[in-house]
Amino acid sequence: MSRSPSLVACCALCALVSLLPAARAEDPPPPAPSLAIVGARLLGGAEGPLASATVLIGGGKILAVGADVTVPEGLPTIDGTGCTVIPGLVDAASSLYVRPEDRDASGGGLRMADGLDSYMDHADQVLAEGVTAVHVLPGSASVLGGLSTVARVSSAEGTLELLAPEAALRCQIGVPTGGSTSSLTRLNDYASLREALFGAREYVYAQQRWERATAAWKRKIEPEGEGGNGRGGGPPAPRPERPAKPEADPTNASLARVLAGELPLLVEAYRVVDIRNALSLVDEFHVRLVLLGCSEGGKLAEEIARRQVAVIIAPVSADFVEPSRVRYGELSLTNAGALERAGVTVALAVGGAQPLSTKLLRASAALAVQGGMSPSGALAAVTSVPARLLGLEGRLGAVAVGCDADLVLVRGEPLDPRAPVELTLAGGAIAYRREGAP
Amino acid sequence: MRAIPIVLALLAPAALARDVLIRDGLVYTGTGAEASVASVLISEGRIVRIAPDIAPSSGALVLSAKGKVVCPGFVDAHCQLGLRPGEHSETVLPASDDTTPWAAFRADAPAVRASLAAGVTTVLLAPGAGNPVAGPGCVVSLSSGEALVPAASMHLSLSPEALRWDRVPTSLTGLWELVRATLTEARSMSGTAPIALAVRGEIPVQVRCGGLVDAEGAAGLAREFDLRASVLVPSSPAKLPEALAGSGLTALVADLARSPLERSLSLPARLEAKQVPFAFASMAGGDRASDVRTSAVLAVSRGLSAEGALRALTLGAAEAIGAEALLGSLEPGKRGDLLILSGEPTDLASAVEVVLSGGEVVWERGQR
Repeated sequence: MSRSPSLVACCALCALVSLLPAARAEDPPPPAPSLAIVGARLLGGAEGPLASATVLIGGGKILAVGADVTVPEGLPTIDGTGCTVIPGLVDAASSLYVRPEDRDASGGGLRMADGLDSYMDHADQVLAEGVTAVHVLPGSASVLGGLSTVARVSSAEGTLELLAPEAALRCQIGVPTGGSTSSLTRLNDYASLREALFGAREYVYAQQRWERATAAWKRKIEPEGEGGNGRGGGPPAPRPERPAKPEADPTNASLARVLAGELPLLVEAYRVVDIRNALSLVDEFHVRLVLLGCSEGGKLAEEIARRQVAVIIAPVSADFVEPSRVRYGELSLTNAGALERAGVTVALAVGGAQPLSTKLLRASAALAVQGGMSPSGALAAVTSVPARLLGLEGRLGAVAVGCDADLVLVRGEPLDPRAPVELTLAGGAIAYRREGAP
Repeated sequence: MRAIPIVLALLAPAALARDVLIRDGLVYTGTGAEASVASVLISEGRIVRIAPDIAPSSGALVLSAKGKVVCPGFVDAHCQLGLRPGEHSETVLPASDDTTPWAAFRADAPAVRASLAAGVTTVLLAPGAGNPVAGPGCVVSLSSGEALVPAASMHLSLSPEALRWDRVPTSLTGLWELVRATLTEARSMSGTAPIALAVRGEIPVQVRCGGLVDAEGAAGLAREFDLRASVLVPSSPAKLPEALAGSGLTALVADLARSPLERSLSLPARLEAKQVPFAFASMAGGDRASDVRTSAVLAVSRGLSAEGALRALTLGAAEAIGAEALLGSLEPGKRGDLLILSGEPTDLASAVEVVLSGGEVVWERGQR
């Protein structure tokens, strides 16, 4: 598979994935369509852009997409003429639903999914900007931050749908906690991270040894097959002792999943030296690395591309962040474009410290285009790419059959913050509708 | 160009400056006039002519802007760019009406270069809000680090940030008393001290406010002392446009992206509707660069007119900082501070391709 953030490639893959379940015979019949969007330009579809598309929605899913899809008679229909329909946007580094006091919460065993507050009333404003899913990360106060989560943005207060309860293990190298950083803390961070991974490897070995020993133990205590029914012969052998179970530990359990390639290791790093150290973790531990932040990544574009490491650029612009939280090194709008041209898979995130910052996702993408990223790459970077990185390909990030009906209808260029969002669908339901929208 | 020492920039011989002709761009003059395709001729660092067809003189640097947009360099009406954190305010004396932040300005700070790359050619370098009478601000050219107007404005702070436990005033009452006493005393001063220029109306006064009540207080103060005042209220209270309508005060709109509340994003549109003059002020400093344009585009997304946005980034900001005779629009006699953009200035996706300051190319796209 090509690692380039080509829209076509991603969408083709989505289409492929979505076809698979349809082929199975035992599947329940597809739900009846409940809504149609007609006449809108389509971007982010499975078969490339369409000048005028019809999208059928039912059961929270996209049932059909195409230029010549027939709309059943009497179906509620939204006329999207003059608008563009795109997949719901995904902010790959958000703090939506995170209370201010929890913003810096971090620790190896922490699960961000446990800390989201669905009663925070920011969701409506975020939906009005077309963002339907957020990747919420633990804080960066310690080297190991914990497990991030992906939630659907919901317009109903108090409800929260976790799309990926445990999406990635977040850590950091060289991100200062007290406002300043030094080479000593960067070295310490990297060393602690390596130690943690070494430790986790031992943890895995200990688990495996225990499993083998237990299997051997079971063989010993089970009665022999034929011949001996245990009554004849000499005195019974002493019953062997069951091997002691190694101590379970949530941090190591998460790291073990990273080592097994089940979870991506998300490393927040900004400066060249820290990014290089993060990259060397791929060589040493063969982890599926995703770089977060990565403001100086453009300088190492070739090295990042060679290892097929994906990048979540956050923030795109320091405008979106409270001053002096982090030393970003050289933060330039040209970063995303430079990485894209080198063939790196790039997602764009607001990376703001405030829950409301996620409103600026389209502005972030527009700024990346200003800095030289292609418009199609920027759209993929806030839709299909984060979906793929977070293990939600085939569900989020594409207007394709079988995907969740997270759709945005925009009047104008979809990533232009001046272009009003007319309608946002989240999980098939109308989550935002602009006054006077079709 | 990366880090010109200030002295060198000041001594740069004028003879080196050659004519620059920017041809055939879609020119926004910043005055509010409709854009038209024209060429801009700059000589000795100043704009001399804008016309549809100008023949290049021999030896002139000719830049084609065909298919591109030309507009004035953006002006940031209030920031602490180039200052280290904590160097904004000298807070030992509450009335530091002569302490200029200019003394601590570093033209080679990365954030200064990044701001220039974003099209910000000129800023008002302002003292922080830590003192009731905070001192003069300085109009600085970001490319050369030159102080174009050393004492351009006087800064007052009615915000609780100006109260400290270790010196008077410790209360807002005391703060008001001190501000009034300082302004009253300045009325009888005859020299060119910045505070004296301010009460004579020769330079503008910027008043930092914590909330709506401070902004109303600032309007009263401006009436009482006949000040040319603007207010910077970072909390963007919802009723600010109503409080300022008809007061003659200018509103400085703080960076909208850092805290994108709807009442902040819609503030410029609501100020425009109430005909309150306004300008964008990044409040950038330390590592954070100024990108007033992002704020302007976000304001357009909430109903501000594109013309209003461009004006607030250019001539409106120059007026707010009292530098409108020198810069802020493309008109003969003004500084050759201008940008070549790949598209409309209020389209966030259009890139800054060339930045000219004082008639010299100081940044080009592709340059780090």
